[in-house]
Amino acid sequence: MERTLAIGTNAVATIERKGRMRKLAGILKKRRHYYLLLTVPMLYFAVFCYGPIVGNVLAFRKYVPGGSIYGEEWVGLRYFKLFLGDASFWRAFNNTWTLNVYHLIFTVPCAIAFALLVNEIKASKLRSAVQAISYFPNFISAVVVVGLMKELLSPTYGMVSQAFQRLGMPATFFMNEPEWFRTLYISSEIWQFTGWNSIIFFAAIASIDKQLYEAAAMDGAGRLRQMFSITIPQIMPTVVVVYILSLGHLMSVAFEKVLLMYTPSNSQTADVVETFVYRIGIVGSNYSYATAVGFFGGVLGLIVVAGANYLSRKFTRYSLY
Amino acid sequence: MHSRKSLERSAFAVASGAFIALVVGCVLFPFLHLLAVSFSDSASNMGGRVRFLPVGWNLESYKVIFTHPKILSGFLNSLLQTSVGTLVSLLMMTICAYPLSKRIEGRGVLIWFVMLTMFFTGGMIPTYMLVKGLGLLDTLWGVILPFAITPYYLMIMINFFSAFPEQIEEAALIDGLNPIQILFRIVLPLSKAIVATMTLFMVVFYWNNWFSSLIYLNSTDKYPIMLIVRNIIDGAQMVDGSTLGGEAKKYVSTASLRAASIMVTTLPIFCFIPFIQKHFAKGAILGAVKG
Repeated sequence: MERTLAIGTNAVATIERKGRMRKLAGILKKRRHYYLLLTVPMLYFAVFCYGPIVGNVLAFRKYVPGGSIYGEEWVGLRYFKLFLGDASFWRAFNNTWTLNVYHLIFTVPCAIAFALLVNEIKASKLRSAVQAISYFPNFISAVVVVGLMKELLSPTYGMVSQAFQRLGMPATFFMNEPEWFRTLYISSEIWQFTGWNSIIFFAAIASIDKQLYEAAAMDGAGRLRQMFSITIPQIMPTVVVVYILSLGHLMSVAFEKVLLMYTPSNSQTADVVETFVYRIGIVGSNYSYATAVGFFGGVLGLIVVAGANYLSRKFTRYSLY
Repeated sequence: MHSRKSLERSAFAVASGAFIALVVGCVLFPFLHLLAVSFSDSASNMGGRVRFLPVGWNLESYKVIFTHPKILSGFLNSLLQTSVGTLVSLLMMTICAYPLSKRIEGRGVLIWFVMLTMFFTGGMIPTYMLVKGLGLLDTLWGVILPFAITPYYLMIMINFFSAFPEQIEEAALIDGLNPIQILFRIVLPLSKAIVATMTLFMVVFYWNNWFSSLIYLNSTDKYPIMLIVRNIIDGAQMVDGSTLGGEAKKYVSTASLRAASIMVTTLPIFCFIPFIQKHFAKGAILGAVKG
């Protein structure tokens, strides 16, 4: 009796399984839809992302106007030798990493401090309003940011510039002075991105166990004490990760902003690798030479990313790959 | 003991109040000042007498901007670039991210293929040469296509779609819909947060983009508004006194024109953000934490 029942259920199960198999086959067949969807994006990546990567062979080949975009004949390392002996390349190179070191030193602590302070605002509506306002500059074009700076810093009528003059500073054409370029670049980056960059720290703070604060309050810790003894130690891993990952950007700057701020008179500090490439390649049409410079910068950037990632994996449990 | 605590609490209240005022002030003061400048007359602007209230109120700078044919066409070009670019990007990123969020054969390789482009990029000149070689110079596509897919945003979208409840899709699959229909009829309508976030990012990107127009476009009548504003600010393409009548000259200065052009290009973005604010904070945090 039990046996026949078992056989019966077995038969039912077989039929069910057959049905399920057919359904599964149907589902598998439907997978081709996924690949169908992927064809256009993958073609896009091949052409628009890997195409230019391959296009770097131009750094080793001579370009003839009207000829192939991959160049016409091999010239070996000629263009590399050219720029390695070019003093203006080395100036741009040094300006790039110097600017980025300052960037690292100032922007991340600002974002952390901002997150810590805004977190102390206990009225949640007010807190999210402040956050929202602080995000706004992130969405502004570099054109507008540099425009704002030019207006505020104009030596004749700029509001900020006049305030400085009232404090006894001589009239300065800030946007043209090489010794002011880095200060202006970094402060505008801070103005524009502190709110946005602090998002990751807000997320880190939000994930701290609330019981820690309750326990600390029981022990009589005030809010300042809680900030230094709980919040900051708890977000330290995030801080380390952010720092290490931003090391990877050591060779790239906010190129558009630099280009907008660039003038021949502040070029001593404002000329970075990318503006150099732009000037040589796009403006001067020396495509192979500019590609060689860009390729060098790119490879160096990659090495720094890989190094930073190695450090990150070694000292924290986070890594990019 | 008690009084020390309440003292600390009120000190904190004062400090945080001051801090809020500082942040809000820092972010808003350039705009308030430029708004005032854009409405002020020439003499007051050039004499530096304008602070946060217009001196010698007039609308002449805006009249110049809104009647200048180049600026009007710049707005139209920007609208075109922004709308087509955003649509293309959204479509491309969606049809790329959705299949990659599924356990399909070769997913790992494909994700590598896509993610490598976050670290390896061709660089400015090879990309320029490609656009040139494809014959896209001086076309709308030349400005849009190099930016159609941002690998970082793609990663955020893949994460989002991976978290989509599978049961819904399975039910639809059994009801006979194919994955493409499921994506467009079921998954996308239920993914408003990510779609809104990406729309915001892409709209802002294409609206603010001027550099690719500078290098890829030759005809000035195709220039977007940001590039024109950049030229106004640089003084290279001044809509200056020489083209204006004597009456307008009294009101319109370089400063007020720059200020007005900054205002009209930034305000659309500012008006756009609050609508998707609630979505994008979520979306951005999602990306920051997972990505």
